[in-house]
Amino acid sequence: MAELAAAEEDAWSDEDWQAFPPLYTLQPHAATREAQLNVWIDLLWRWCKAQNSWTVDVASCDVFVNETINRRLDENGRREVAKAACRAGRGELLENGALFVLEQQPKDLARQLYEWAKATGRLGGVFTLAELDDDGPLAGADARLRTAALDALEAADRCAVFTGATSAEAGVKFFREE
Amino acid sequence: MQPITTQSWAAEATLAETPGKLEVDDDWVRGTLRLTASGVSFVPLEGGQQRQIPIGTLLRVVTHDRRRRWKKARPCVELWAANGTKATFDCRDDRRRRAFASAAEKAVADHATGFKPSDAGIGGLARRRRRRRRRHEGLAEDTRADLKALAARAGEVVSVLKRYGDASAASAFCVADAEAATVDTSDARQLAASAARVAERLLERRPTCSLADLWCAYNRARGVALVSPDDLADACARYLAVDAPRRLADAPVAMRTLRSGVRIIYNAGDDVPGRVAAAVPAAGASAPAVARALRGPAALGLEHCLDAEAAGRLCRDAGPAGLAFFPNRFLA
Repeated sequence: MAELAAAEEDAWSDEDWQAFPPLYTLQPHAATREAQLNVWIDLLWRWCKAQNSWTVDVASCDVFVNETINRRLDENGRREVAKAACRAGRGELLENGALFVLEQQPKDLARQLYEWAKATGRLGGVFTLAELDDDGPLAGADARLRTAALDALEAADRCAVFTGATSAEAGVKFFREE
Repeated sequence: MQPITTQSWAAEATLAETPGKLEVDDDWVRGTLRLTASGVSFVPLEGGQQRQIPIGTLLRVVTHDRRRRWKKARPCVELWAANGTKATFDCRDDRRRRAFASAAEKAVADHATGFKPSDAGIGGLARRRRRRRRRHEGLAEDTRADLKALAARAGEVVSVLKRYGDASAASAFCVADAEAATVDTSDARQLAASAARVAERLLERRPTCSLADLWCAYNRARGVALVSPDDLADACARYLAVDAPRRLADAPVAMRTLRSGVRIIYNAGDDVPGRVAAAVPAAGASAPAVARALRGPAALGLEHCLDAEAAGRLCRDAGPAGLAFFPNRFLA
């Protein structure tokens, strides 16, 4: 217990990390760089959660700048962070160069969606996306994430997605468990 | 002629001599004119003031016949001195006058060229040898006296050195090692073992030192018989390097090569990157500050920081003020 308590005190918060100057220099040592990029991905995720905007332009995002200690992560470092996020599966690079940060893994969201559908008795039914948006784990999720989750659920053979004339008419049918 | 008497002239050999009368203040004094190597001197017959002209001031010797209307012509020698005076000397006969004049002219010419009759002949050789030996003996005497005085002061100097040597006995640089001085430098194994002992003393003060520092300290310990840097580097590479196949089993120190090629000596089993990381405060430090904290040379500061960074103990911060190093919290 004492060790755990000590570990809790020793672990740094976001503010501690953002005030650490070496965070803003891309480290040459491989293991250190990997740990540094993980820290950046976590910081970026919490920033997007706070802003509630999951599409980030890495070149101009303010999370990479700290005026208090006069440090900023350079272009190369930001590109590395974006690439590492994609490698770790926590983000996707879009066509216009922006980074889309995934709030959670699409597979996890898909599983939650299916569980919710099972719990609310919607298995076997067809629902529009608008209906799903009102309630459930898809509420408040970014559009891309929603699409990714539905694709993952479809790939897992748990639902079928119908595209209608407009996106509002697109529908989802949940399969029952066999 | 100047009325100066020099006793030594009487002892010199006579080159030419002629009797006659010297004109002194409208009076004639009988005497003998004598030419020696130092000049012309006049000795009066009845005693009295001797006169000399040094050879350096003698300008010309002129012979002519002094004519008086009612007396017959007498052969005469005129000596012209440098200060404008002339001495007229009536010679008794012409033959001696001619001999004297020619001898005097020859003496003046010899003086101009620097030739001395005492230097000629076997006697001259003997005289020169004696003169040289006397000069050298004088020099040896002076040297002996100087060395005696130096030996008397050397005792004081050694006592002062001993006092300072005791005060800084911990510094390996002041200690002359008899054991190190007798090691044969052609045997690399012995050289490495001896250098390791000196390095052990050197590493009491600081955690690591460069191979150049060890070379300096080792040569200081050896005293006069210095070892070349190539010999020491080769011996250390063969027997003290960490990854050497024939490393001395009980060597107290080890040698490593850093990324840039610098070779450092450290206590075997010591964790040098750990020490470097311990020397860096939590707020970070620049490379020269780390070198100061390690009490090592400033040029090695950056090397040690890069080495510790490669070992994952430090991380770098390329800020606007330059490169700084922090303890590595990423891998902590």
